[in-house]
Amino acid sequence: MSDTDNKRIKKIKELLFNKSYEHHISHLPSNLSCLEILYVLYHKIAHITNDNKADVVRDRIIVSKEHARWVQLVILAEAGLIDMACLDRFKADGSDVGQDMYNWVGSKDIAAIDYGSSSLGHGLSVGAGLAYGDPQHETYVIVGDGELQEGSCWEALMFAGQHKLKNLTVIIDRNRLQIDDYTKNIINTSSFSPEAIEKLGFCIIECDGHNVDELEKALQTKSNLPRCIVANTVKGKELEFILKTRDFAPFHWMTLTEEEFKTLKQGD
Amino acid sequence: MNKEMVLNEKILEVALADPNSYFVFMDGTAFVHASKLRGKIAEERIINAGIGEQNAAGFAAGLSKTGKKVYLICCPFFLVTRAYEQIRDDIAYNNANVTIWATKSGIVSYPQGGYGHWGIEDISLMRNLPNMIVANCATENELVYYWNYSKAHQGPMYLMDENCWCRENPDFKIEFGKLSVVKKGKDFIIITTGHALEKGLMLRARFRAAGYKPMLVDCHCLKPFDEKGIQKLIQKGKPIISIDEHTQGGLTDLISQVIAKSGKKVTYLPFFVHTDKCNLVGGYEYLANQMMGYEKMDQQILRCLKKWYHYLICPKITFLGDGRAKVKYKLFGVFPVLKTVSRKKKGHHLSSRKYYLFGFLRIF
Repeated sequence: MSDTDNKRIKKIKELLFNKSYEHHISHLPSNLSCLEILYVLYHKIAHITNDNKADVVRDRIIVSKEHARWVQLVILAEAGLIDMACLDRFKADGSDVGQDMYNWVGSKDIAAIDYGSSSLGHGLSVGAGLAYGDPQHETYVIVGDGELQEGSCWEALMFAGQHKLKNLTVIIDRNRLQIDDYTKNIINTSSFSPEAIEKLGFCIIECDGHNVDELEKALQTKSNLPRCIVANTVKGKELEFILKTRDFAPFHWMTLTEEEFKTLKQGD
Repeated sequence: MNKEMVLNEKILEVALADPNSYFVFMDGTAFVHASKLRGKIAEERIINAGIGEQNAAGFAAGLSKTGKKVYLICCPFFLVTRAYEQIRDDIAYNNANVTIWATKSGIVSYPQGGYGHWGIEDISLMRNLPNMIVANCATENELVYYWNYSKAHQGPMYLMDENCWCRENPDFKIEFGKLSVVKKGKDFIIITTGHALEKGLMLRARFRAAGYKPMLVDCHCLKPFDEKGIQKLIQKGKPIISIDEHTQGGLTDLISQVIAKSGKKVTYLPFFVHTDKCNLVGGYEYLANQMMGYEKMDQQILRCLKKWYHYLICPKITFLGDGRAKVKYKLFGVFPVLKTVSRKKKGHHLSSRKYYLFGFLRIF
């Protein structure tokens, strides 16, 4: 990872923790597991700029694991694609920036945000529609490995494989955890999904989901098939110390306490 | 032309007029409705989404966001309930430019398929979604009108038809967001939606034969709903009957709300599908009679129409089953005063009646 990337990611994390603590934003661990994925997509791979963000046709990034919407906003704000003030009005009364965002190309302020729905299992179908309708541009969809327990995901994957949507890239944020427990103890989508998706007609590439260079290389791999990047991640990276004091479910939903925030700051 | 033919012609017309229109079919609807398109438009504009309603709805939303006008053609009993969340979040909430054409709504469409094949909750479910226009097409004219409307409209629409059309295809004014007066009248008001229009026409004919002249109104646009139109009907001070071959939550609730808000005393008799009888098996007529109460409809309406002087001359109406009606008037219910029997003119069940003084002496 270059120094520039290192510094930028450090700045994003600082912004994420500061704003999360200030505004009591929840679901931090899920946001941290896909931070590097979104960083690489917005900064190195997808061509989304202030000049084209309001365009009807352009590269698209869909965060289907919608509880990671917050880190998407932070990265967009740091990149200058949305106003930094958006972070201070996330989920606030009367705000245009919430877990669900009625946006698309309607509002230029947040035009960089692709798709706003707060239910799991939708992003892949919408992404398939975007990829099908705009074959000249790339569509990236980030899904959680637990999210793949939704049947609708598999309908979309079957469709994308059948229609060979080679401009569609699915990125599985494989942190092996869901709310209540490890996925292997509930429905083991983390393990069987890559092989199953490959059988549906995808090109599978595996990498370290927190390694910027590996992610970039994986996302630049060419294929005539739709691609599925299996990004191995850690849920709540840098918050592992908190997992020692909380059960899985409270960890999933957590907001930072004062003590936890101080511990994070001390670690800087 | 039958409904399928007209619908397919319309789909082709829309497809040729707008090269930006894309058609998403499900397994089965592709066979019935896509045939005319093949070879006439680019293959990529005809998408068979297979047996995956949730994906089809989400896909249609995503496709529309690349600037395409998307038509999603499906059966409501599979799409609406199974993919309701996708329709709700991806299409309605995100204001996607997707027109859902729900062919075969209502109990009339697939009665023998059983409860799993009845698209009866869709009006109730769809009208509660943001940005969604909801329309139910009872006639060929209404189908053509709404397809033309959908071409220009930017945003989600839910259009439905109920398999069997109103055979008459009556000619009346159709205006978006407004009730349509199909037949004028004065004694009571019948409001229908979809296939129930045919029931309304038959009901009106029977009561015409019995000496009444009901007004018949078709409610093809359920959202936006013509509240002002209902208020005007309430002002007439006549009993209102509604017929909707779907569950409550649709036309019944819409009219009830307006009546309740009006503060007026209105006799309102709604007929809708009662799902406590969902385990019934049979054809449409049997199911409609059992679940909608059609067999008892005439007598229930007659009770609403009872006037004070009816207690003196006690009219007894018998519907003769062939569209004619016989009315006997008896003083205090005992002494026959007058009898009328509707006369069958060529091709008509309505028109004139024969009058019998004291029940037997023909006077007219």
